[in-house]
Amino acid sequence: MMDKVIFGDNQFFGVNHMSEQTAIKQAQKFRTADDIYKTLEYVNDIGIKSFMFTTHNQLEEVFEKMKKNPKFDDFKLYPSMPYAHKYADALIELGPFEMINKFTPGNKLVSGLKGVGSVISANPVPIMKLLVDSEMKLLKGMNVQGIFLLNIVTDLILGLEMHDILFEFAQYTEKKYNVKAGFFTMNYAKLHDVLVNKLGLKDPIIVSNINKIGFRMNPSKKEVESVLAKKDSYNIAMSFLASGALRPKEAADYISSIKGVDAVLFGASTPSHIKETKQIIEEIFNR
Amino acid sequence: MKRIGLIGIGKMGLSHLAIANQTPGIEVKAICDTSKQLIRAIEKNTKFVCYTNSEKMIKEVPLDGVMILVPNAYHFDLVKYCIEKGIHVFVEKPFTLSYKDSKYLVDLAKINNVKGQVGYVNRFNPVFQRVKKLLDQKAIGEVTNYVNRMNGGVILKESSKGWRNDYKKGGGCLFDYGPHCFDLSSYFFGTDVEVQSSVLKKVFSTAVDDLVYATLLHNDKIVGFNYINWSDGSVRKATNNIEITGSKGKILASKQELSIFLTEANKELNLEKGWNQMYVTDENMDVPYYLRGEDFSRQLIEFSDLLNGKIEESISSFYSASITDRLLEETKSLNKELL
Repeated sequence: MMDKVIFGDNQFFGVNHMSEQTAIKQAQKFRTADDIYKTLEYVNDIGIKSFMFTTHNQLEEVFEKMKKNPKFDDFKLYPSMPYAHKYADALIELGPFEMINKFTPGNKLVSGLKGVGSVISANPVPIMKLLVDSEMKLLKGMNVQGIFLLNIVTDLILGLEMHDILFEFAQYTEKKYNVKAGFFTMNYAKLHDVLVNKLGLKDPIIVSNINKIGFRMNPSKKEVESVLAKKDSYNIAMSFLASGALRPKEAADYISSIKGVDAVLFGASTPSHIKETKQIIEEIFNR
Repeated sequence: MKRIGLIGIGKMGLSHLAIANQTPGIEVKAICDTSKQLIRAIEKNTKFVCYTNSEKMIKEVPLDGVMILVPNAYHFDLVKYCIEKGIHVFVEKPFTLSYKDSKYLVDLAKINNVKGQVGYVNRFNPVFQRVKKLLDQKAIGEVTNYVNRMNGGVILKESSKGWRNDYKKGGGCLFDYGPHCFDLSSYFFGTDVEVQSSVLKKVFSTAVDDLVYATLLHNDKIVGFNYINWSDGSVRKATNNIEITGSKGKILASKQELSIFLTEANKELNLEKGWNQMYVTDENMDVPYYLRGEDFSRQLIEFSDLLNGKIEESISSFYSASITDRLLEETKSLNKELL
């Protein structure tokens, strides 16, 4: 279904969970759209054909370059949304109504009213749809193979038990964009239970931390391992190197030793690291 | 299972609601916010019983505890009301807007046998808890001095508008970031503390401080320099960095990492001579539910433990929070004029 090796974007935007200094150093390498584009070109050249990213505004220019290069025709994109800061900033600067207008594609007035209407009628589903459409505008005409909900939103909805929204999201991506939905989470076991047992979604795609030291595997490493082993969801491991706390070899050995990991999402900023990590992940699945 | 209610569902309020709803030992029975539109949306889409009047909620729903998440100016009245009703309280930081009010509530809670916790979330950070433990174990010997820094990018351009530029509305860096920074200082070095000197300075704001320099003296022997700046465009989000010097070494710590330098190896603590590096990934950070970082989940586990009688007092108690309020007042009054 999906590729085993998926490239991520944290290194482009100064995110490292273990060290602020590492994050700063990484962000320095990617000051311009061209810096990011060149890395993705390398990634594509060495045969990593999947890129999972948060819909930052800075990527717009990168995608424009990619559209012009036929090499990227089979390069698969997995947008993760919503990039909350974008909306939070707009909310502060423009207010709720103008914000909905700004992010509403197509006929501003009509869809603007649709959004405003749903704010008034207290129904979050039309707003969710508007936001997905708005984010997808950035990717028009590109090879999008899945649409992912970021963990801050997935987990908030999970915490408030507004499970219907997760269901509606999965329905919407399939109906409107003909791609599967995916869910990032820091609460793998809880989310799995909701998606599979409560909502009845078949093989839902879940992205969560899976690593040898159990870093951010909630509620516990043991519990996550036992749910992974059920193999009734498509499980993508992130932070398999635990933000650098693990050596690549031991990190890979661990992933091989447990059941149920279907793909690995990783980020790295230098060509040698990217290549090395790709090989390590491929070995995991060839064992 | 203890029954709780939440008052004030702002941005943090919604996160608190999600976390509280997933915390073992407590059950969210009712919530309250003055925004009718918001309450209608929550009522329609969740299972929570909703109110727009907090007194009505407290009268109608039997509650063991309440989380008070409203703007700072309303903390005093609401906490007082809950204490008088015998309901245990979690209140966001700062405790109240004056030391006098905070001290009054500390005493009132004691008389009414009510337990209290204030939302100083840094106290639940696994790295900072490790630092505290190392200090208690005298890993760096007797502490002599420290530098505690908090930086963030809240005010990055000239502005004379908004509540942040108004002391009466709780604006200014001292009252926004200051509580976190001072609370961390008193967590590590004790509540027997007073401010020795302070300087408040504007950078972009016109009527309030953007920078704070304050010297604290703990227990008449540990001197600490507290530097707080909310106009630092170089940091992505608020960061705390602390450097602690003792007779046998030094500790450098942030929320994610910890370095410890020792003049002699410490076999009991398994620490080498020279620099030792520890990361947040070394700590067990499992939480039943994660939303905005382990610290927020652990903070609510503590409130659950407090309500269920598993602990007698929170590590972020009304008393320790009242000391932070005193330090803020002393810093403001020792400053001669806003530079």
